[in-house]
Amino acid sequence: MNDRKNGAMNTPHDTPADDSPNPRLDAALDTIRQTIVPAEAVQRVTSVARRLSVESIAPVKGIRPSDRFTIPWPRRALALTAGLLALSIAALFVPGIVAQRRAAAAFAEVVERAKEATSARFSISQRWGQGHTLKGRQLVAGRRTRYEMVDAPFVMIIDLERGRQLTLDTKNKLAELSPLPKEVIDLVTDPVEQLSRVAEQGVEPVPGEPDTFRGKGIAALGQANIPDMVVVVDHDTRLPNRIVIRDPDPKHPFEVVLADFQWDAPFDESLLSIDLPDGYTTHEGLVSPVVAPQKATPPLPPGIDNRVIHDRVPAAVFWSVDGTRLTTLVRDPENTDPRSSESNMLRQWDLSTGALRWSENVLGAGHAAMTGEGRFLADVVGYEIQLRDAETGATNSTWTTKERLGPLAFSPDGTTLAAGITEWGPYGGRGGAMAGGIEWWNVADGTLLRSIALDRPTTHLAWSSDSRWIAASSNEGPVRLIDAGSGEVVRDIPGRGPLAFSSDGAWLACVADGDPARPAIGRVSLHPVSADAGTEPKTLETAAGRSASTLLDLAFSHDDVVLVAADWNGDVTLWDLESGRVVTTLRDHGDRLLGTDPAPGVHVVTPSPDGQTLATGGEDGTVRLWSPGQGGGAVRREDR
Amino acid sequence: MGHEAIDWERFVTNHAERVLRIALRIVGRLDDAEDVSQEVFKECFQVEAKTGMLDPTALAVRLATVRSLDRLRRRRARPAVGAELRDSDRVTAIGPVEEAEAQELADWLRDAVARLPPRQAEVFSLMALEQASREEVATLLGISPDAVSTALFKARQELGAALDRRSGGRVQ
Repeated sequence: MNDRKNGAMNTPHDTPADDSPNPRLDAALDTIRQTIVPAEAVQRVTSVARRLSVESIAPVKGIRPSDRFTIPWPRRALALTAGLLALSIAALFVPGIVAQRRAAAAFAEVVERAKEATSARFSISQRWGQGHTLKGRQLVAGRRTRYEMVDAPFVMIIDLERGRQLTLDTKNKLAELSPLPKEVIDLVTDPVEQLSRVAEQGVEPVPGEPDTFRGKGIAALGQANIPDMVVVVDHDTRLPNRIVIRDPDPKHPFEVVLADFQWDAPFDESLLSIDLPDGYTTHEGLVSPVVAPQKATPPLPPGIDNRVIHDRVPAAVFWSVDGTRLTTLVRDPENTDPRSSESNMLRQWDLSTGALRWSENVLGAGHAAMTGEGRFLADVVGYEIQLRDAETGATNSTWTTKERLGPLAFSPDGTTLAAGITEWGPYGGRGGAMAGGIEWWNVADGTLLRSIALDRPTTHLAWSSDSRWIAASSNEGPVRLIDAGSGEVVRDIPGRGPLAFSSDGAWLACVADGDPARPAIGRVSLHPVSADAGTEPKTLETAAGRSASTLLDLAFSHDDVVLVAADWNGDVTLWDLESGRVVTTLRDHGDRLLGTDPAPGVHVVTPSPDGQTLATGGEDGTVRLWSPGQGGGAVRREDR
Repeated sequence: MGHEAIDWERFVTNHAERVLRIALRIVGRLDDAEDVSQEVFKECFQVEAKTGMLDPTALAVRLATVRSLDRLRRRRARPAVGAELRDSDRVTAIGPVEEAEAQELADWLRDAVARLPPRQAEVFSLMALEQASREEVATLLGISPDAVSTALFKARQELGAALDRRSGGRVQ
């Protein structure tokens, strides 16, 4: 080590500042120590951590229905089976543990009654991870259990006495009889061990909630230590009426709700028989069916102008090249309680039938892009870029990035993907300021072609149709015009936020600062891309909106006749580019929640490839499809 | 929570920033740091629920350090593609070149800390990154102040040597 030659003070190693034998090491340490902790991140950590205590005493909330899910069967079978059985047992025995505690008297009665019951029916809903809810009905009698899925023609009958399970596909009349997996038998044939684990923790009354008891650290669902279990006892019958088991860990939360208990209800013995039912054929390796979305899209009858897709909030909307399909990236509304938030999804809708073609979970992905010829979709989940087949939604390839990426834009030929960096410094900026940049990725093999650093977070990106330019902007501005070939920043343009290049590549539209005296009027700047053209920038103004204007998306019509802007105040404004006048303002996104203040914002505007339809997506959870008849022929295109 | 239950909200409010800061400095990425912080609070909550926390601050700080180092080690096991490609980037940096170098060095240092023996890594992280005093670290880790000095000295020696090896292997 050459750690003495810089003449640093060699004091005892009691504080790091005094111990400086290696200047390069200390330079690195300095850099690390300069990392600023973002206040928002502290807030996020605080609110999640606080919830740990709140959730364990909070009243039970209903589970939101999931839109669609596929169950990897039989992989999930084990967990499901184990879960159901463990739950059944827990449901019957938990009162016994409680008897040790202060609530002993009340619960002893419950226990006795539950033990005497010959059968129990209840609804069961399980949510694993983010957003997947399995709903079912269950019948338990002795050592036999029948489970029916609510959303699918799927039934499972388990007979512990005989160690067999019968799986039924009731739609296709297929059945499979199979041995119970060993783990399931282990789990359910030794309830004593499970109960002793529960006993260690005990069950206590929930303050302020009569007839409600809580247990912690119980064993169920194949997991050893579930943080929270709440049992609600029916006031009159003194039998369990509702049982909620959950793990509030935000990284892999789950919640299981058993409710609507019917004790001792008569039942048909054949429901619990594991003999092959009449009319069924045996089929090995039964795969559970894909469950249809519960929130079915209303069909879009032809001829109706105002067509609407009801879903969650669309953050991005893409048309297929032939205009028959619409791909949306949907998320929860802004005001969703974080506890009930669900994953973002990419979905594709068939516009001729109104059917959902597919739906893919993209976790927290807030941005997506589609190639011009409609072949690929890209999204970013965490630090992973996912490249998908735009036809099927299947992931073709993924690669990881080093920086936190936000907006995405494909080059017009679809070979390169530009991604905007939105990262806390020092990438591109000194210290803890938010900074940004752009990365260029080779779509074919996921290699990083080039990256540049910018001193502002890159929140919006656009690639000109002639491939020459990339525009990048941050929410606060400015807009940077970048040579897509060299990565050089060519020009700063006053403006901020959403960007759009005109189809001929001559104009760049961005959001301009509003007039503080007239906050309800939004302003868009149109800048000539070529600086030496001698053309002056233009400004377009929206009509006065219902509340303060914040423009969230811009789009040119394909013939560059019209510019469209989406506003957080719920308005969609269309301008005639030649005259600069507002052609029309579309306000339907506010209709559903009329009278709410502010009106639901509009996030995206996207004209269809043939220019005949405009898709707008808003905070009201709808995608609206506008035809030329509306808005004064606004989205017209010259006949060719 | 039975016995001497702490005020959970106050505990979280008082410690969130420190836990996150420790995690962020060690793991170097905000999302990872937030994950680690949430793990830390969850563990604290479980300890509190089960036995009660004897010294809540010490537990939070120690867990933040240990869990962050765990995360760093796990990450080392599977480096990101982006990180590998970065060397061959053509970067048009807007900002001083030194800054990029310092950042690269910081990333390298995190990697090197992850390779230290656990005790040394903990001591080094707490003292060099969190600037905790020798006595504080001794209390946090339940070891003598001398043992802290020794661990820190060894850690710096090892990191210094690794840094020299790194510089030697590069074309200057």
